[in-house]
Parts: sequence; C-alpha cells; structure tokens
Amino acid sequence: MFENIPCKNIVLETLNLEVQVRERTILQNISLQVASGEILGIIGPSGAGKSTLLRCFNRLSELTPGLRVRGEVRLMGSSIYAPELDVNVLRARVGMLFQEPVVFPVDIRENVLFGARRLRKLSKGEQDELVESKLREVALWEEVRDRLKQPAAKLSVGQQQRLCLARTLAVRPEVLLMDEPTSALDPRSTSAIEELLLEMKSRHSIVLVTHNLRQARQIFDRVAVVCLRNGVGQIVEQGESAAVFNAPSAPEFRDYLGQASGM
Amino acid sequence: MTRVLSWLLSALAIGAFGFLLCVFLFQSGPVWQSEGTRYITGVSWFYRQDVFGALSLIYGSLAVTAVALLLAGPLGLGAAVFLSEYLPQKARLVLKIPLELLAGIPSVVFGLLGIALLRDWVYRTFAKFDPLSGDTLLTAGILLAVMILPTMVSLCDDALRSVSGAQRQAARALGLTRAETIWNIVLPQASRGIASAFLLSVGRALGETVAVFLVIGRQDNNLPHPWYSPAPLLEAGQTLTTKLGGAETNIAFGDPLHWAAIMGLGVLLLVLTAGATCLGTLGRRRHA
Repeated sequence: MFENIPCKNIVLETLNLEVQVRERTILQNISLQVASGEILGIIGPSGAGKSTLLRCFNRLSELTPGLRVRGEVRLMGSSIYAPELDVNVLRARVGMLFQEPVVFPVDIRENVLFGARRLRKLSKGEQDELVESKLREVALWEEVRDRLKQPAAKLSVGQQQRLCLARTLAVRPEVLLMDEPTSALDPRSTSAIEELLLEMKSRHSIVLVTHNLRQARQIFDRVAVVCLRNGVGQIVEQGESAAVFNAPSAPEFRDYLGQASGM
Repeated sequence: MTRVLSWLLSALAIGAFGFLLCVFLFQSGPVWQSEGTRYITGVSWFYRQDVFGALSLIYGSLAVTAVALLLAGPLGLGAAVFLSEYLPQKARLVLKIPLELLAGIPSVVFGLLGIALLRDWVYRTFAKFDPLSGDTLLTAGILLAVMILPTMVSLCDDALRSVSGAQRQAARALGLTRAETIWNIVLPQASRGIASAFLLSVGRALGETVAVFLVIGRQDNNLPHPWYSPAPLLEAGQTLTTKLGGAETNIAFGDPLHWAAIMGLGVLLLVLTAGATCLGTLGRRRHA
C-alpha cells in the first residue's frame, strides 16, 4: 500500500508520524512522500486530522497547545526536527495557505513584501520587481496594478486568496501547503487558483488538502486518503490519483466517496 | 426597540452629565466673572486675598498623571504582551483574576501603603537632590502608577487578544518569529485599543483623590521655573483633586466667590476626566 516513488527527487517525506493531543492519539502511522514537481492531495472526511497533518510539515502544529508530534518529517532529506534547525527558516521554506484568506491590514504592496522583506535586504527597485512578478504569477497584477497602495482588505475574497498566495511565493518556498484554499471562494476564483496550482507545480511541490472531489480528480498527481480507523486518523490508501479514485479499495474511503457524491 | 432604548439611555447619561456640568458651571459663575481666564492661567491661589489662579493645580494633576503614565504605560503594555502572547491560555486566565482584584482595592489602602513604604523610599533614593520630605509629586505619581497598573494590563491584554489568531498564524507561517509577529502584526492592530487603555487610565489617574492626597504634601502654588524644569517633582504639590479633598473646601462654602473658585476646580476636573474617558471609550468601541 505504501509504495515508494522511484527515480524522482523526494522533497518532503514523513515516516511513521504520530500526533497526540494530550493523551489521545489523533493521527498515527503516517508515512508519505512528496516528489518535486507534483501535487500530493490529502483527502478524507472532516475531523480525520488532515489539517493537523498539514501543520506538522512546517511545525505550525507547535503553536497549538497540547499537541505532540512523534516520528520523522524530512525536508530535502534532513529532519525538520533537527535541533540545529531554525523553525522560522523552515516555515519560510515550507509556505502555507489557509482556508480563509488572511490578508494583513496594510496595503496590497506591503502584503506581498511582508515575509520577503524580513528574509533578505531588498532595494526599492527589487521590491517593485518582486511585487510585480509575484502578482503576475498569481494572475492578480492586471486587476490591482493601479491600486497597490490600497488596503488589501478591499479586495474580493478570491483576490485576497491570490494575494496571500503571492505573499507566500515571495519568500520563495520549496513546498507549498494548502489547507482547502478554495473552499471559501466562488467558482471563478476557484478555477483561477486551480490553474495557478497546475502551473506552479513545476517550481514548488504542493501538498493540498481539499474536500472538493472534482478538484481532487483534476489536479492531484498522487493522493493520500486520511480516514478514521478505530477512532484514529491514518492513511487508509495512497497512490497515483487516477488509480486510487477509479478503484478505491479501503472501505472507509469508499464510504467517504459514497457520501460525498450522494450530497 | 433595542436601538431606541439604547439611544434613550445614552441621551439620559449624557443629559445627567450635562446637568452635573451645568450645576458646577452655574455655581462657579462668580469666579469666572471676577477672574476671567486668569482663573486658569493665574499662578497664585490665595483665598484670603481673593486671588484664585488654578494653574499650579492643573500642573500638579497633569504632572502626577504624566509620571504615572510614563511608569505604568510601558510596564503595563509589556506585562500585557507577556500575558497575551507568551503565557498559555490557562495561566493567563488564572493571572487575570488577581489582576482584577488588585484593580478593586480601595484607594485609601494604597495611600496608606504609600505613606508606609513609598515616601521614605523616595526621600532616600533622591537624597542628593535634597528634597524637603518624601511627600512629593513624584511620590504621588509612582503611587498612582501602581494603582492604574492592573487596569492598564487588563485593558491592554483585552486589546491584544482582540487581534485574531488567524493573523498571528499567517505571520508565523511566513517565517516571522513570535517577537516579529507581535511587533509587526499584533501591536499595530491593537494600537487603537492600547491607546484607549492609556486614555482610560489617564481618566482614572486624574480623578484619583485619597491616595494622592496622603502622599503629595498638599503645597499650594508650586510651579516649575522655567516651565519645563523637573524640580517641582521632588517638592510637595497640589492637584485639583487634593485641593478639593482638603479642609479648604469646607471653609469655602460660606464665601460665594471662594466657593465658586472651588466649584470651578470641579468643572476643570470634570472636563479633563470626561475628555480622557470619552476619547478612550470611543477608541475602544471602534476598535471592537
């Protein structure tokens, strides 16, 4: 069931990851790999621990009190739990996009520069260049080029989410984690983001959590299905996206597909 | 319905305050007629000669409040940042209880503590400036700082907590450290609430009477020369409230002009505290 990916560069992998909240185990036996240039999808029912799992990849889980993570997570072959590793540098290398867009209450330009400016010295010209290139990358430039000095909160939700993506891309992450990034968006913004993901995956590996099965079928390269088994979240099935969706074997996953399509 | 009612009640509250102010203004009428603006700008107050200049009292109130704010402001904000951003939620809630209890201690108790502990400390610490006693504006300011600190911490903590956790999380996910997140995300967004915490504390400090009364020395007509000199801080002084709380108020009641001068101090105090509190409350409401 846990097949390896041969002949590909593995960017991110986990080995026997286990997560506990106080004494209760909520995720166990999680082993997965993300290769460069691919989108790994994580799907499964609500409450199975998908978001928690995602937060283990950039150690954002540590901000939740009472959460304990065991096992191994490796980025480019080295452990992200290594004692000499600076967790803030790690979080810049592993970018994250949330379910609801979180723009900062400053103008559009400042939003793009927010994280990047902290990591490297940027001259005025470099800043302008970075803002334009990242906004172009997320297909927002044409819409906002005349109002870069306006508050980001005035943008539509879909635009805000693309702005958040630009802000994350500006710190040049190797991996992008996305926690249902389109669930709060209208269909047009959703397809805009989906197109971006397909375009971006050659440059950044992407781990995407979604509830949208259509989205999953269309853009995942590989998929890991996280379901509750004996009350604990675990990967019940994983592999090439087409294979997994066309011939689901785990009963929990079949239940989930049945419920999801029945809705 | 709720809306009408809330308007009605607001109008009632404003009306009550307006009525109060009118009573004070009316009763203080004679002094405005006799002294004019000199009542506010005049540097001397000698009631036996019918000279009423309240400037030294206004100075006393502002100086004491400034000292209190300079000490309690940074300390209170710092403590609030620690409480809200560094302590786990449970410890924060546990700490907030004694904090609110502290805010409820009667001010005369603080005054007694000031006499027992603070006065001598100020006298000894600043011995090289040769103060006449430990009863000084500075003593009063420090005591006030201690008194407003709990309120300050509590209000600043509320302001910081009102910044959404999603903002913090997004900043941390970009690789900002906790300190950078506080500095770049939390504090700017809480600035309105923090400003209103300061203003509400100013209102409280301006109006405080008994505690200040016990340690300020109650020396009339103490003004700095030149105006920016810090010297009077280590001398006894008088504030609007300590003047009003003293025996002179009872003496004044028989003499219309003197009584008017005393009521005039009430007007000044009402305007100052109401101003600070209103500004503070407005900021707080808009922030929330």
